[in-house]
Amino acid sequence: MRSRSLNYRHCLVCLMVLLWPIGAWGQTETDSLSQLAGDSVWIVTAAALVFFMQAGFALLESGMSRSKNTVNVIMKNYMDVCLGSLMFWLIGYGLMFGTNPTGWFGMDHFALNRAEPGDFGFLFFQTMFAATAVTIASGAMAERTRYQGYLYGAIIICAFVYPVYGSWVWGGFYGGSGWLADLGFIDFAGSTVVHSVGGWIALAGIIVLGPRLGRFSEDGEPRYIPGHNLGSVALGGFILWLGWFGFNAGSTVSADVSIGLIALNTHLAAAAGATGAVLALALLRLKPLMTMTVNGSIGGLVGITAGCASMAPSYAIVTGLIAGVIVVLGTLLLERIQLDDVVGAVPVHAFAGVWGTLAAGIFYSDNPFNPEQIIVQLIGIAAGFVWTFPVALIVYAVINRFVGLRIDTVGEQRGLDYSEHYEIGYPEFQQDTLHQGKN
Amino acid sequence: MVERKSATDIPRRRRAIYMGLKQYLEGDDLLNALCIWQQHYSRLPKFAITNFVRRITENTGLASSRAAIHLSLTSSLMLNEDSLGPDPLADMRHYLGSRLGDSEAESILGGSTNAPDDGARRSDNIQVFEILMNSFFTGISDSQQTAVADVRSALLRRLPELIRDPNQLQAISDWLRDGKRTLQAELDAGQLQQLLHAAYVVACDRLGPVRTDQCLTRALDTAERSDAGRRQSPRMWL
Repeated sequence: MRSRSLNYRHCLVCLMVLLWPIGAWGQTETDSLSQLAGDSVWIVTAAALVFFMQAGFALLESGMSRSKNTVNVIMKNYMDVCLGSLMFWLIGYGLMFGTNPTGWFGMDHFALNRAEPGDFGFLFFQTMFAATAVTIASGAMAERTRYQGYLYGAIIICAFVYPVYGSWVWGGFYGGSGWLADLGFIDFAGSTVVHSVGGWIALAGIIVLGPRLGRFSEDGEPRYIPGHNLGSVALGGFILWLGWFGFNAGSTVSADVSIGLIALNTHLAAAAGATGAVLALALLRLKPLMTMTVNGSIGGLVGITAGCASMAPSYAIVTGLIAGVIVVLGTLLLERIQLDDVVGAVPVHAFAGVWGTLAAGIFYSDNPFNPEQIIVQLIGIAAGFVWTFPVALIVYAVINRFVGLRIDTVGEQRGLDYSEHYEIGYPEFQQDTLHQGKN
Repeated sequence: MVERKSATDIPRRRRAIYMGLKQYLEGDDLLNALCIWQQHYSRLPKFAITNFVRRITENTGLASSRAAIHLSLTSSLMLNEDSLGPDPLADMRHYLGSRLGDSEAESILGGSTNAPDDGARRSDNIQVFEILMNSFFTGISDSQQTAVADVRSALLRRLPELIRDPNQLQAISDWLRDGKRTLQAELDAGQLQQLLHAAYVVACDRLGPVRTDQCLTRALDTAERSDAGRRQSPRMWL
């Protein structure tokens, strides 16, 4: 009896030993699925926040423009998201994230229809990034750009210009890797990949377009052309700030504990950016303009985007503060060389993006002030400019030649709302300056 | 390349509309449609052709041909002048005159003609234009005393590009040089629009676009409140 009982116990123990790995495997699989689901929820939520930034851009850019161009600015924002998203799905995603054996561009995953569930969330998130990159130029080029020509540019940028550079830094999601990534280039959420690229495109656009009618006097003195709705500028700034939490913290691509530091750094840098801009204005004995302050905070956000996951909060503040100062100085520089950037997109996105990418190397928490890392960062920054700016310049010049990028002066006089869309933003107030046709 | 609906282009587009419509409409229906276009759509951007087609096909047997008519019109509007048929203006004037009387017909069609003898309408045009421009110049002067002389002289330099006829050129030059003179020239709506726009561009360069827009808005208000302005809106030149 005792012997039988012992045998029974032995058998039970043996069975448990045999089955334990199966149970443990089941538990691991459940945890893994839960993590995957959590990641998906987080990435889609973050993508929605990034999409909301489009509302911020629309409010900020239209508010900084004159009332007669409101509809045009918003329409450009609206449609570049639409067309850009379609083009990124069709071509851009494959170029940027497809298998990248050469390090220069991806070669598959175009027009993605069949993939792992996580891939769709990632594509959704990255589509919002592409839409952000392309919409940056619209504000700089506002008030004198033909709608059709602008959209052609947006399509080419989203399908080709942005993804190729992106593949150098973030490419190889499905195999291989980008050449800048191989060098160790740090750009966590896209100070250069998204913002400087967008800023250089904006710079090319405003060079091809030329300034708005009367923006500079004959002797080169800039004339202030105030926006028509500073309330919407401020609201746009707040919305962008909010959306940036998704932009940076979503770039973890997983719901993990690192997002706390990322969100904190993002917020501190924005606050420091606005402070830096106000300080710079005060030191230069200029008025504390609200538009410049809002741009300072956005400059801080752009600046921290590269290093938000890899620097201590104190360094995030330094990064944001300097970015705010750069925004002010960059705006003055553009005015001095008679480049008309309506919303300050070039200093905010290009210049602050350059600084932020450099700062990500300088203040890298694992190895701060490492000259080798700083050189790699400089190479990545230079590569972004060398690729994006000339290509965008050619694209816009070709569009200007064959389609028309610059509106004629009659259209500029009437306002682009009427001349491009036959629709006006404020019919109750704009009757006096409308062409007869609208009455 | 860039869209611009100036009055000088109206005869060409009227011929194109006539050509595009005549395979779908005939007789009085065709002339009526042409008059509708002339009165309501001839100065609108090209998108407005859709509204025109909808209007002339509504409540008629042509509703099912709307897309074809639209295509026909957009095709004919793209033709060059040599490919277009005759100008139907005389038939339109006769059609409207027989129904509304000559003066009413002239008030509808007159602004579009380049005929030198449409006296009353032309006078109104010139009067309103004069009020508008003088008020615009006054606004510029109020903003910056010396600017108005610069704007006048810059406009004088640009005049030969805008006005080909030597008599008209001389008359406008005299008027611009001497602010107290009246404008002694008959100019069509397209020429007046070009002149106003040239002044706007020059003023933008001198004053900046914000002040220029403000001056233009005030000038427009002054012109519209004048007697001639109530008969002839200056907005057609904006």
